[in-house]
Amino acid sequence: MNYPQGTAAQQKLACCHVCHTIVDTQAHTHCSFCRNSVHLRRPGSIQKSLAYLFTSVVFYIPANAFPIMNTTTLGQVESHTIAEGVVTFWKAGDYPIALVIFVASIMIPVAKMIAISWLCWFSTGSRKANQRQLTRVYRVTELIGKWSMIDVFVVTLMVALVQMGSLMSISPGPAAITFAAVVVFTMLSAHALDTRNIWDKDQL
Amino acid sequence: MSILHANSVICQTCDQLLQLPEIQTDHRAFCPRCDSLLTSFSGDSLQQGIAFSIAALILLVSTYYFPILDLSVQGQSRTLSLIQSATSLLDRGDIVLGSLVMIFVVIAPTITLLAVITLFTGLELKIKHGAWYWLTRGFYFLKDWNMIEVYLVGLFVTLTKMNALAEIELGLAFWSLILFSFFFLAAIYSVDRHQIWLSVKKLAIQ
Repeated sequence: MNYPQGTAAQQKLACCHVCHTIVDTQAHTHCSFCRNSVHLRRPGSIQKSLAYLFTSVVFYIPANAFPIMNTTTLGQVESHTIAEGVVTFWKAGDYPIALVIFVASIMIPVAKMIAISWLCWFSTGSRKANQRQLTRVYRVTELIGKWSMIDVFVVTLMVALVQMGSLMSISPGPAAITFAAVVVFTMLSAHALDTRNIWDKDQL
Repeated sequence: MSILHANSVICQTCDQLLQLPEIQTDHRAFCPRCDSLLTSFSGDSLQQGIAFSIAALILLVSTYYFPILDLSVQGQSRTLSLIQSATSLLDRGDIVLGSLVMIFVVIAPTITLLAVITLFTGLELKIKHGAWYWLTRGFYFLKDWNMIEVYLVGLFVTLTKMNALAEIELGLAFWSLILFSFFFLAAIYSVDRHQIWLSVKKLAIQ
């Protein structure tokens, strides 16, 4: 495989992903400092990333189909899903909260899934890519990843706070754990990607 | 075929083989190809890191120990601390969810902070020990899985929601959590990754 001029891989030099020591892969297979195996490019990074991404998409379906929180008031049980929660807040006039939940629980996960698919798509084959733009997408994806957990923590706090027996009590719905799984797996998926694959392509 | 120098680096983002020039204090080096940060140099960043992380540790203790808020509705009152919010899920039988919250909000920040203090102090005092390698590796692994500042925003949302339903009194842990988030992030981002590994390679005997 031909790597671009000036890259370390062109000279068969690799960087240990842990301690950044430069290793000549023609002479060694392991890092001289930390004994980790060293590769020119992370092997199977796209496969791993897509596998995690697929898992998170699968978890995203029950996360939106099932209720995330059940409120029991005087014997009456009221359940709502993430989307229903946003609508309820909006109708009640709590626009900031509705917006926060919408962005954190609906916009960010979907945006991440699209971004990671896009990055994987351009990491393969001989497609030309706008590398700077893609790198920026990657950075943003990694940064905003954990903020989707806001809704899970809101449910956690509500459950812990409102436990007054049959007067009013709150319990988490099945969507809570599946949504947490979505966040964890999109984070793992973004982390598994190797941006160097994008920079190996011809400049757009 | 270019020769490897002592100050050769490889850009993590685009794999460009580069030679780092002498970096002056408070200067940063960027990759010419992809513009990503290679390293930054600051003379006292370790000391800053130690200062921030000790402050964060004190605030961490107060955040876990004191209650976050007092809730009163219709005569019934309830006090909630941060750890209780996670253990209440475990008590209910939601083991997986409760464990995740415990890991992201309690276990990860505590271990990260302790690792950071030990590591920074050791590097600053130039002690030779093989453990620095594992601490650094563990630290960069755990760094992404700290979600205590996300918990704080979730707390804000919950408070806004509960304010309409009940009477809320903010506890000491609430304010200490806000301060903790600032100091914790400052401690984690105070030192440059490349510089840390350079120090560790000098001091960690393998």
